[in-house]
Amino acid sequence: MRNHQTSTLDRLTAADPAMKVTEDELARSREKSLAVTATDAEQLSVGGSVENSHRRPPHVRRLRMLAGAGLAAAAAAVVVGVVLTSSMPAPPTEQAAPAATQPGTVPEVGSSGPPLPPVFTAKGATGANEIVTGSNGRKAAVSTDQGVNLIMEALHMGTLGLSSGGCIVSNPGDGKFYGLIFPFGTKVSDEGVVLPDGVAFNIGDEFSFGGGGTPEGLPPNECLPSGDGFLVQSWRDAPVSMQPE
Amino acid sequence: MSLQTDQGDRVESARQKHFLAAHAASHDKVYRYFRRRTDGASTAEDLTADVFRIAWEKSRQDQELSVLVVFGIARNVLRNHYRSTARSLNLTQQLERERTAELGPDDGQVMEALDRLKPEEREVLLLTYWDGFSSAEVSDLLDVTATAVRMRLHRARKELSKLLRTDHITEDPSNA
Repeated sequence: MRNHQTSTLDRLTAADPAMKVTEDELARSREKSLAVTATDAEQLSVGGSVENSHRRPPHVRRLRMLAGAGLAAAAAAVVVGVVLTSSMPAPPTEQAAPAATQPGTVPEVGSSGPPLPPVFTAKGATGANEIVTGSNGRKAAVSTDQGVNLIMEALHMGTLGLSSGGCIVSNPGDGKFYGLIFPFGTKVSDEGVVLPDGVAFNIGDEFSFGGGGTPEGLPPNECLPSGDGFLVQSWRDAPVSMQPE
Repeated sequence: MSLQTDQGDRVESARQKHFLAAHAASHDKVYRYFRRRTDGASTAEDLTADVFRIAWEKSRQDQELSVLVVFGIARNVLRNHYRSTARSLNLTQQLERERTAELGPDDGQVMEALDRLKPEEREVLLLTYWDGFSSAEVSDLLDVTATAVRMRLHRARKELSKLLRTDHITEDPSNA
């Protein structure tokens, strides 16, 4: 039934903000979003909205902050070095500066200059894991890789489930279960798991984990019967809109 | 390196084709989805790029890349975006409403009415009438039952009509 007024549906459709989208905008976005296929390198986490919104184990955040501070200090040291060397005699050749990658050395700029930042080594997860058993007998595969700072950014969504063997696994809704390797420091609670930063996921909770697939050839175990699974490296709380009604 | 073998090349080529097909099928929808819900073209561009970066990673694991899967990623990326911008759920919802309202072209009354709908009902309404998803697709996307989608849509339309004081929408979307 319509009258002189524009119908609600027509008004709603007319109010769509995307009506303003131009072909130029779309073309620019298409180009940008396709650029990812040009580089197939593993994503080293140094920014990005997905990463920013995922919680990371505290040591990863700390490492990144230190790395940022280190880069800033390095930049400052370079500037200072340029200024100093322009008015200083060349150093004796036998006093070669230590290599930047030499372990245990902290090269300096002059005797009173700021120390150069420590060298950080990227460490990725190997997939190595152990079965952690909770007080109620539930089990979870937990990574034994400590100090991982190379984070993968694949997204895995699903519901936390329990396999027939009592392992805490992922049920992405297709009727199957998939193995999960939780980050180092994860504990098995009565209801599910408690991740290293204290965030708890219980059996039946919807989750959205960042991370990546386990490497090929990972030895199977009771929570990863085929050796295949998903390495959980970042997480956030269960999506509100996906909570059961 | 295995990618340099013929078999590796074939796998990579298949992956690219798979990804490009998903990109062609869903890019514009995803971009518009973000333009409707964020504060400008550059944000929508960045978030869309994020979505396809994740989709590209998923394609490495031979995961399905249907439009709905890509939209599932988009919803999470949007939620993450809101989360990174606002600290609390209330602020997030407020931000979402404000963004939607800011983007409202001419009909401020509609935007105001949308703002007053329950978030879960507004989402179903917008996914249906703006993003063009069928009820079954919305059901898959939100991971709620088809009955719940129909109920929310019914309530949202009724409430919106009441708020706009116009005639009730009696027709269903053509793709429902």
